[in-house]
Amino acid sequence: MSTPQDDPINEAAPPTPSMADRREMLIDSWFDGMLADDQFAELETSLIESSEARQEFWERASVHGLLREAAKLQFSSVGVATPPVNPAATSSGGDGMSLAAFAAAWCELPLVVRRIVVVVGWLAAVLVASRGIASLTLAGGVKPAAIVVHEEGFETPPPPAQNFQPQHFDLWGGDETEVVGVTDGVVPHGGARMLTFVSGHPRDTFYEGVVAEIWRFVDLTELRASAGGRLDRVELSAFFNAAQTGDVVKPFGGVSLIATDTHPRDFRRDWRAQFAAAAKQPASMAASEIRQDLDSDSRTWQRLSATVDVPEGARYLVLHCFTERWRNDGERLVWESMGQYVDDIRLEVVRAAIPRPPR
Amino acid sequence: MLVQQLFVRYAPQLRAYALALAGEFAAADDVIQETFLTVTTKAADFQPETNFLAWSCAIVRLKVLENQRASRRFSPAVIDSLAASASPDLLREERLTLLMACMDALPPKALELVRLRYFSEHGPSEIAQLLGRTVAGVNNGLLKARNAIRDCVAKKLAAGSDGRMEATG
Repeated sequence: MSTPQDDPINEAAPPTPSMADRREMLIDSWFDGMLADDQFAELETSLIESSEARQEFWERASVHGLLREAAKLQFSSVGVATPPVNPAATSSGGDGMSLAAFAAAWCELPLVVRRIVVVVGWLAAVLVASRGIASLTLAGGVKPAAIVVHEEGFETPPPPAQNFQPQHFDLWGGDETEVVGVTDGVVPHGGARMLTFVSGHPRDTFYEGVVAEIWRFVDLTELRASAGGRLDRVELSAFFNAAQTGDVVKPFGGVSLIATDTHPRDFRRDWRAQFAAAAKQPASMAASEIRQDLDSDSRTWQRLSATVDVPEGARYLVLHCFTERWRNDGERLVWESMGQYVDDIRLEVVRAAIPRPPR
Repeated sequence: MLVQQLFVRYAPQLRAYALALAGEFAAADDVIQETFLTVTTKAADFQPETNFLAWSCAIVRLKVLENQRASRRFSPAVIDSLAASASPDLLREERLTLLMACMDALPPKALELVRLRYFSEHGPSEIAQLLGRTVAGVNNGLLKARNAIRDCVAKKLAAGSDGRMEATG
């Protein structure tokens, strides 16, 4: 039974709400996951007994449901813009694509492209998840100190692609990983899913990888345009966890962030040479990397972050998360990748000149 | 048109429908993915001349009933009552377009609440922490934002309806 102290509805409502007001707030609280047990029972009874209540439920449900769709479309201009043709294709995004245009483009695709895996993956990625790059122009109410422009919690497909070096603007890629729920006592940092590193190389390939890693490109041109031409400093952060294993020697995680003028197609396998190049080309490149030992307590997540001041000549960002651990097998240290998790990766503009949108 | 194409076309409406019955964003997304697989498997059962949205909404309803993972879910009786009373008009594609236009008209603070709730998918408690506000204040703000959008959409629909009557009259 809820009490007046923990009743978000009564707390938020006028002293004597009408029955309609009360129902309106019960329905909204259902959508926000804020109903106490007795309030939930009250709402269920109302929905069973009253056609008026059911009509009102659907009216509010349409606002709630379509508001989510609208927010995904409106706040993820780049994510929505990417044509969902092929997860392996490189794209630099573009202007926002309307739902109708998206559907029309889809219908033009050859049948083979519309395979289930593509539909499931991209439908979820583009229309369900839409955890893409947020439009800064709509951030008038956000403090300029920290604007989230990309979030990835691995809640919905597609999972990261398999590749040997950063390639995609619209998709995480890298070594073999798996999206999982609660595993080995590790509970996702946010939501119901997280990413676990399976090996230090893409699936179905093998070489002695050094670390297990994922990466992604971000096009700075769009972010700058949205930010009125200036984009000073960005921060990449991610939460890491390592499962408990008694004989593991210091698993570690890390994030790196590279601002560069090199297009993905010109990246080479030794792309980490960008770090050295950055020191020689400060006008167009900058790089930052943070790595940290992970504790072996599966109950704790550790936030790691890297920040770079974006040079005016830089055109792209490379987001990079990596992890590694060594196991002592009694005679020697054996490198392995299993047992580390990453979740809730976030790219934020931490300093930018953002004009307020005209109203 | 393939059922997959129809599914893409009606995806926003189906997700809104699933969200209404499932309550939680993650649960609704799971339902939609399972629905897509079922729609694909049962594609041969769909009669092209019939209503795809109604057919797929029925599958969504079944998936919601099957899905036990949500921390709190409506009883089967409530879901059946709601499913029987759903009006396809409330999920029309036109509403999504109008709703986006109405979002633009929200005050900055309300727009920020909408962004945090529906794009970042934070709950009211998290939003309260992020913004340094009370949960009750956030609930109230969300309620007002939704009401403003509901009224705005209704106004635009009425205006559009009047316009069409004038044009055809």
